[in-house]
Amino acid sequence: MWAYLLRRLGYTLLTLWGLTLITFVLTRVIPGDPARIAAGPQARQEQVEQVRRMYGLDKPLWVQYGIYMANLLRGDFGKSLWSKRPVIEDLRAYFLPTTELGLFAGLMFFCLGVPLGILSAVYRNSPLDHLSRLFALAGVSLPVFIFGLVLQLIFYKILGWFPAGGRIDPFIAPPRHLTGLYILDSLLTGNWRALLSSLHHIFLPSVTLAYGSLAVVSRMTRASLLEVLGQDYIRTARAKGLGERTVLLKHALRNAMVPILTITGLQIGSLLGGVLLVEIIFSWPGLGTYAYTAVTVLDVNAIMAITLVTGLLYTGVNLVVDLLYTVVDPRIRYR
Amino acid sequence: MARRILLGGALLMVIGLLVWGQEVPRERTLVIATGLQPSTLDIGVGYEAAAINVNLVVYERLVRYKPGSVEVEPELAESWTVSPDGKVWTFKLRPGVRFHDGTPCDAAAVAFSFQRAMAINLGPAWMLEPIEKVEAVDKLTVQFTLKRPYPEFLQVLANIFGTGIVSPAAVKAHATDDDPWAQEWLSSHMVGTGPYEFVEWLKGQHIILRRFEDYWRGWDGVKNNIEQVIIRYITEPSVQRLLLERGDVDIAMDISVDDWELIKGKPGIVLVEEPSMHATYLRFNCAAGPTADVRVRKAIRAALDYKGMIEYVLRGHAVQMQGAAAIGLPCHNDELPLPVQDLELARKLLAEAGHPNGGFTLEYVYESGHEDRRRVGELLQASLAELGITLKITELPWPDLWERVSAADPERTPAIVANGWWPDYADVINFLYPMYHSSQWPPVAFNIGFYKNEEVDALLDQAQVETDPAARCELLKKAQALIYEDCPDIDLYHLTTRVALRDWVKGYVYSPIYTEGFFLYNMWLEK
Repeated sequence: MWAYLLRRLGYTLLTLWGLTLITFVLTRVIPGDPARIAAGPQARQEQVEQVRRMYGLDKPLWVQYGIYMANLLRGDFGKSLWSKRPVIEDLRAYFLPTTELGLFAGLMFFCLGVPLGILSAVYRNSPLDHLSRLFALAGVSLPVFIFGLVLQLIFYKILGWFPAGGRIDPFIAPPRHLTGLYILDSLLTGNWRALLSSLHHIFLPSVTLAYGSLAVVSRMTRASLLEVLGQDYIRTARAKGLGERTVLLKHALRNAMVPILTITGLQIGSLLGGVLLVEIIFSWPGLGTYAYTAVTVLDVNAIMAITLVTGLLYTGVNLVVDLLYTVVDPRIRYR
Repeated sequence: MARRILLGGALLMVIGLLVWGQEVPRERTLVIATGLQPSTLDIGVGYEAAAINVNLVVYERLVRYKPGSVEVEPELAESWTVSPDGKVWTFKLRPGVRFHDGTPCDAAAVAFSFQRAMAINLGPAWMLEPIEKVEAVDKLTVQFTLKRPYPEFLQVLANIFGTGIVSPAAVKAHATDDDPWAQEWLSSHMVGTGPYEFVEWLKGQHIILRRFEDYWRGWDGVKNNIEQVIIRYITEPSVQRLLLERGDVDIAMDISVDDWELIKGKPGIVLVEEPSMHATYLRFNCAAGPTADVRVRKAIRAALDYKGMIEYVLRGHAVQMQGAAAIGLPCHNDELPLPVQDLELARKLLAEAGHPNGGFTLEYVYESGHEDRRRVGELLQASLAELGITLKITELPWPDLWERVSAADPERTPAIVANGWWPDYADVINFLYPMYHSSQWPPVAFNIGFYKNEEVDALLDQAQVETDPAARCELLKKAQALIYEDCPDIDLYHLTTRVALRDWVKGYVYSPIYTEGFFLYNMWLEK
């Protein structure tokens, strides 16, 4: 197990290193002169050269890469060409909101999707099952953008139950910074006003973000559970006189869990893709708009950092999912 | 059922708590929604429209543009004199002005702010290039010595970028060995002398400003009752509309054209629309390809349907340009003709140029995200097709577009580039010199069509040092006429600036140069 973990970590590092190399080369060979853009639209040539020297963009590519990697190993992502601040500072400001939204949406689709799938499997072909099928169909086919705007129209404009966007009411001070996740921080510091406001604000964007994944996870749970429920050992369990609840939750669900976990991991990955649109609709101060700006102004250091952190997150989620397999299915052993 | 009641109760509690929990009352808070967040708050670095709203109220300059006009008036300076050769400018400062950190704003602070912007040498610093040195003569007198006469110097000082006076104490307190000008700290903090002081910037969410009680103009007897300003960053224009309609924001900066029509006439909402000084051009490649021939350029100018452009492409939210400089600026040449569509003239010119049936292809390049420029391209494409000219429309993201037009080789430059220009200050030379002087060919600056007319060059060179305003105006007007005759570009339109406000916001005046800005000191809320 430990050997496996170490090997996986090794592969993760290798993947990330590959990522740095590809992104580095890509950001340097695409057209456009980052120094020119950073110096400002009316800058004279000498100012541009000054910026180029300041950011080391005048050195040969491999030297630049070497310097970048050396800094990276010290945890330094360099300075943003756009904001002139250390990238890590901006990244911290924009990455944590995205993480919070992603985690909340992930929790939402998993905690609602799996029970919904179980219900549809148990009451197969009942009106409940049909309803859940319809719900799932809508979930996978409704574009995030439309869904978000519709929610906003209903729950903000017409009913006025939820705010139109933002992370917290601008009139309420955010909780003291511990983790940077507002919900967690306000819980830890007992700041109930901030907690309620954060929950109030995160609700609509996470529903928007989670809906598609919720649909996929519930369908997957249903299919996987139905397959398991047809197995001989389920019949045996029932024949032994075990209660239906025990059969379902202890025998069937656990065995059905592996594909559900796989799909959950993949869906968390796809959340990262959907988050950009959701952030725009709900004015969520996350990585999406930051990444968009970084690309449009060719902020090479910011682009590198965003790619690396997202890559790290993705590989991390995959690793966790793989390790969870052993928890739900003891037959799976990693050597 | 019980659970449902519980859920409903919880929801009500949430809403109740939110309404109850406001510290600064909403009715004394001005909330502005905008989609543009500045990259940096550093007055010596930032050079983008997104920073105008905060720069205008947190920092102050020696002089400023009078609200709603392009006329310069005193701000931190009470008076000034210029030496006869135009090279030494002496400013007398207003006494008793304090920074938000409590330190006095004196001549040393003014000199320090300019030295800082010039040393950083980024973004707006190009405008300060003619300054040789700036020094404090005494506590309230500051003197600029220039390398050459700089007739538009006062205009430059009134511009919003790079000229705001920042507290030297704050800079020194946050300077480090690597960062002697405290750029890192000032990129997310502001310490000026303006009517509002900076409180916080939650990146991606909002900037909060609070009324500065020790402001030198004083708060007694003014109508202003705005204690706090929240600038919220709302990327999606339709969301800005929703927020405005429900009164959660008082001002929305980015209402889309479609929404603008829909909220027109709604009770409680006031719409302000004014032509901006932003100019959109189609710049010809004057050095290579068919457009190197002035007759071809003029034929294309005669082919475009200007009426259709304003009415259909821009749905009336623009005015046609007159010449290369913005209408409304001092020394703008009001006698230039407004081009109209004349396909007969276009055919005649093409025949003279040796292309009676067209028969060539031109590339039209525009920047992604500018739908108006794409549609103008399509309009032109249709007209040129009648002349036998094929127009190939290419969309490029800004860095790629920039790469194409900043090459020193005209062969690589597209035949037609759609581009825009914001004036930094109210002087036509800010349009003419960077875009039409032959010293400004790529990669130096913005004469991206490689236009060269020695007479224009000479006129602009003279205008750069002519200190007699009337004589200088003549030079600039003549240059505009010559440029129009050479047709290095088609001068398209000035887009309008649209600001939507709740009717309880009073005292708003549109400012042609500080387009996105608000003179908050003169504003108040009537709720």
